[in-house]
Amino acid sequence: MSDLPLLVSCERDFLVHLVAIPAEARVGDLIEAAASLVVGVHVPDRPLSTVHIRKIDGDAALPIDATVTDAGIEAMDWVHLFFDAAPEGEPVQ
Amino acid sequence: MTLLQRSDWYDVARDTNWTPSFVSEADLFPPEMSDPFDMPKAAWAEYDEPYKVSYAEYVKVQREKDAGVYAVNTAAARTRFMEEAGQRWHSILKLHFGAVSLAESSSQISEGRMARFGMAPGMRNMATFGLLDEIRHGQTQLYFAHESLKHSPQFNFAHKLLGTQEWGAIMTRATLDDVFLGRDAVTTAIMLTFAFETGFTNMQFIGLAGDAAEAGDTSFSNLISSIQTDESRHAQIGAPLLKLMVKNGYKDEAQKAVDIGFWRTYRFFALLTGTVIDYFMPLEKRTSSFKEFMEEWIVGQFERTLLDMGLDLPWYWDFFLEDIESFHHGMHIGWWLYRDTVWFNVPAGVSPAERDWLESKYPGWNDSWGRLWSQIGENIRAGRTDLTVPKTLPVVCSFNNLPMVTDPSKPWAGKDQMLTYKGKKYYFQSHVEKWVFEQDPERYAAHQTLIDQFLAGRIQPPTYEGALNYMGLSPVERGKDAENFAWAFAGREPRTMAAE
Repeated sequence: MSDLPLLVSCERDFLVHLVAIPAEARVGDLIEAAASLVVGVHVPDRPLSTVHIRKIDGDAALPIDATVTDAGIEAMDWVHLFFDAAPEGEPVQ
Repeated sequence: MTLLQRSDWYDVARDTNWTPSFVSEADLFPPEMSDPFDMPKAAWAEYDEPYKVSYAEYVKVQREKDAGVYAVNTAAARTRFMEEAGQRWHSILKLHFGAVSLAESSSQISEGRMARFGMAPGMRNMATFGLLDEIRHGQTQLYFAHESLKHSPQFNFAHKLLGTQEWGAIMTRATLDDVFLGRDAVTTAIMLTFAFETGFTNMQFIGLAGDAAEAGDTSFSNLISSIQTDESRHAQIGAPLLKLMVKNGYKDEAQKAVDIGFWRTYRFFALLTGTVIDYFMPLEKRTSSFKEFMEEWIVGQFERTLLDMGLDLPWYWDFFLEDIESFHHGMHIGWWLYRDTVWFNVPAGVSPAERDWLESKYPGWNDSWGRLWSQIGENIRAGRTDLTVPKTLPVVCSFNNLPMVTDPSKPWAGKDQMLTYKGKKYYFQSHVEKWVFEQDPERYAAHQTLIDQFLAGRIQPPTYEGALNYMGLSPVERGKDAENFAWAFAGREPRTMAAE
């Protein structure tokens, strides 16, 4: 199965990245791949367990054990990383 | 025999609206090239150009201007300014020449279109001189850039850029196609001469000329000041047209063209001028912030001009006023992070003193953009410069071709930034870009951004390095940190810096 190109943004970051992920990958894999572009790079490092992902126009965190496809993510969808509330306070994005 | 004054003969001599006999009026002035709004001849007869000049007068003045520009350049060449100017100033010149020199060629075509297809003789007359102006601008800027090649091969991008698939080149071509090249004479006059040239070229050419003089680059300052004297003349083609459109019941059409042209132009100059004024310019040479320039040249003057003509402010004006606080900061950090995708070395411009300046000009900067730079600085000081090198492409706006960015302390707009058209998903920097796209989706839908080209398999191998090669950037041409990361150590104990 070919990779799904996705748009990925991250809380407290400024940019939308293009990320390709196998359709059968888990949501957790997507979080890890996407976070590696931003967490500890543009925003302070933090444990992956505190990083979640949602569709940019949705509120609910996607289940980390589901496959990307089963989580309803399609090619060229825009997903957004967000964090547990932590040192810097409430989520801003 | 005494010569007549120009005012005695000018109107008669330039009034060349003859009745065609060999072809129809519609063949001579096809609406799609001339006036798609089909304004009556009586309305066009009211067009009165504010700046009247004869060919003999024009040539005399232009010759003197050119003589002055080249004389100053020759004198300046005897100094060691360029050798001593530093990377920041070199980068400003490389950026300017790359973005502007060949764009002048597009302006030549636009002026030529107005000179041939303008419905009013006065408009055609001014555009003819405008065409000659733009030829001069292209030639002189290419000449100056060529002279600087001995300082760096990156100056070659004055000529090379627009023939590449570099992302800034794609953005520039798309902007030029939309505003300069792909419009009828009426819309060109509004979008190019009014929206683009009336406000924004003032900022680039007068603002930058002032900064150049301050930095000691008399040659460049003199060059772009000279260019601006032409711009301020031929930029007046659009204003009388807008007045007659409003007066004769075409306000909605005029307003829409202004709104579209202004927004596309603003984005172009936020990238080109905003980043230079607030980050590239050495701190001690800065005169005003980008926001202050915008408030003076655009918010003040452009606002007054629009309202005086009977037009309204663009519908997105409040959003625009907010946007000038943030968008160009995103463009700048994008320049820096993706510095190997551009043809000049990018200064971070965020030493402690510069951060203080940014905070004073943009209150809250440290808590938003500054936090990103703090993390980047920490990584550099920890020896992790690898973390400052991107591993994937940024997503660019389907309309303006610029990386999609947001103030990191504010949320994305989500639904307001996306739409699906004929089964394809399009993403936009803001609801304004989305609105422009929606006005004429067929005009924009087939455009291939860099990301579209990547997804279509045109970039091989499909990697970041493959993309750099696709963009036409050889290793010696790719940008680096202009100060070899010294900014990250400013005010701290000396540390070993990783050479880039």
